[in-house]
Amino acid sequence: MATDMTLLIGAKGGAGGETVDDSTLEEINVERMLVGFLRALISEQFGEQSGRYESEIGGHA
Amino acid sequence: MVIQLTRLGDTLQSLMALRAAKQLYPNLEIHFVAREGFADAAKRIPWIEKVVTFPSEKILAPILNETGSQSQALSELARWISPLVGSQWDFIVNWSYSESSSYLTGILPARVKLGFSRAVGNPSLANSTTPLVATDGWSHYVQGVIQGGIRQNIHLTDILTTQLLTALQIHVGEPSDAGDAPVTSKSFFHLKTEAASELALGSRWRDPSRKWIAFQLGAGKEDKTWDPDHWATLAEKILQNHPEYGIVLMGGEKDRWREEALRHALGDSDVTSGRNIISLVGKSNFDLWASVISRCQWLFSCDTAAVHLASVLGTRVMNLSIGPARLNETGPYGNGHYVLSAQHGCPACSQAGTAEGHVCRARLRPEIVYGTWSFAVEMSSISFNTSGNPSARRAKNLNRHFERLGIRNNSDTGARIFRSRIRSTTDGGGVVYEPADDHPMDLNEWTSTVMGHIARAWYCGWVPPVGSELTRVRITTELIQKLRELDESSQLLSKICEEANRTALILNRRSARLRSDKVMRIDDREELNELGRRLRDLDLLIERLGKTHVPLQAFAQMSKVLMHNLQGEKLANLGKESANCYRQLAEGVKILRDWLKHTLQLARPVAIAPANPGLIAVEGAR
Repeated sequence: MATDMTLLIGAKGGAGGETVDDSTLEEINVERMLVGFLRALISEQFGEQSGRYESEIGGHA
Repeated sequence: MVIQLTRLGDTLQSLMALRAAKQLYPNLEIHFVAREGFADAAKRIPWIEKVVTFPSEKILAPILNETGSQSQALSELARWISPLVGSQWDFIVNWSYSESSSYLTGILPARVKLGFSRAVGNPSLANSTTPLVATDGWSHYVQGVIQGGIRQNIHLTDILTTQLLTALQIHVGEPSDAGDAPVTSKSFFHLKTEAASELALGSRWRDPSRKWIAFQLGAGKEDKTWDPDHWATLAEKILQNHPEYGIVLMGGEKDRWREEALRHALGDSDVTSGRNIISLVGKSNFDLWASVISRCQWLFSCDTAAVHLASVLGTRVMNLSIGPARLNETGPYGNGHYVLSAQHGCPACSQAGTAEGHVCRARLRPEIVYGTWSFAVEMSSISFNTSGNPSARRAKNLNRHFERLGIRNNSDTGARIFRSRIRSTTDGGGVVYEPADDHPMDLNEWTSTVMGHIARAWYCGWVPPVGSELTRVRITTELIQKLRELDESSQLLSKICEEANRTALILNRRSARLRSDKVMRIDDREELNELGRRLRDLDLLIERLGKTHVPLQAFAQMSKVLMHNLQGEKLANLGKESANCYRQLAEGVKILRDWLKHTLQLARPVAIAPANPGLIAVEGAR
């Protein structure tokens, strides 16, 4: 490990389990994604992201 | 492919994490996406294969100026993204943690995705949604805890590094090399500084015996800046008492008024003349800025990208953490940096108030900053006995140093002083900011330490013993009072999480027996509905407890994030995943309760053995 930057990687590596994505472009709604991308860029430009993601997180709902 | 669409400070932290990964996995081919205005740092890294700049100005300006339409911007965006979509990436690492970047991650094809992304919608359905997903454990933590505004003490650079290395370890294998080379270095960047630029700084700058301090005058937000009068007083004290030092003023075009105000406050004297203070305010590009900070012995800065630049280059930092800055997450990285904070008890800091409302900006007095820096300089020039407790000895020495200079600092109403240290893995790893002045620990700091411990236990397993970061002298009766109030509620939370875990497991078992999630017997449906209702009630209880006690807030928010990111479509899978989430929360609550118990025990009065029992017996007899 790097001497001036002791890293946190350890025995429990991967406990979170990252996404392995095998979806193809055909399966992705690219147009919808691009529109979302642009709208999010604009709202971030205006600093409208306070309380961000909260609206998208609804627990079990 | 690494996506970093935020500002320069985050870009520099990402580059440090990538450097660590590149050292351990030299065959990595790294492509880096950055906004046009912040891409210079990545462009100066020789081991980055390609820097892709995102033209935010070109795409957004026509819409913002109302000179172009949204469909034109969409075409522009599609043109930019097209070459990236053509490649199949092994890893997409989205370190922007923003909503916009999640769409980019969602679109790009990759085997493994880290950070925020988008769930694939159904293109054949007009109303199909593509909800935001946090793809891995650390992303859940960033979303639920860090972006949820909860105090925690793991540095962002450590989070990014651990997140990436964990994924590499799983998907690529163990690193071939131990990676002993240092991550930070004076040659981190291959800079294009023209000799003429540095020549313009004068002959004193080129004198190798001369020492320099960089003052970064501004900050991204006004509420994080320090008053020019304070900078002037600090400059005067340094120049008067340390003639071997000179000062370089740094900042952007918008900081010119700060330089003028500082010079006006300083007046004109031999000490403050142009020979000792030189300015690059509004004049430097990235290369010159990095080159000058690299040459300086110290950087003094509020919460700015300069702090990370100095960390990367191995220049020591005095970080003035004022306004809405979170020192544990974005403080200087490495050993021996100092952070001065006056945010405790600042109403604007706790409620996101205006710049004028930040009393912390005035409470951080220049004499305290000078006293801390001169102490750090003195400590680096002497060697001392390393046995015993270095933190306690440092605090004692710092107090003596302040007394000698006639500086009074009440840590309740003035500044709190921290020194950075890289911990060994057995102590939890990563950078930690240790109090240099033994100031009392408040509930926020206690919660932040406990939360860092819990995150390590959840996601990396390098966990120090409970309470190892705690000293008895810092525990106050006020803290004890608050922890006692927390005791009963945390016990209740523990029981709720266990009950929710059991309920979700029953849901998993019952639904696994069904042939279909949609067509089933009426009594089966009623039983599943009842289990669902019970889980919803338990979720509400977790939320209510989070609102009542600050240290429990993290569990309520993590619960929401974890449940939002459940994977699988079958009811049985969702039941099993829910059970795992509640088990994770229960493990976290157990750690919090262990800390609670340890802290209360540590604060108990201890009977001290009398030095001369015989004498006391005689006195007792009188």
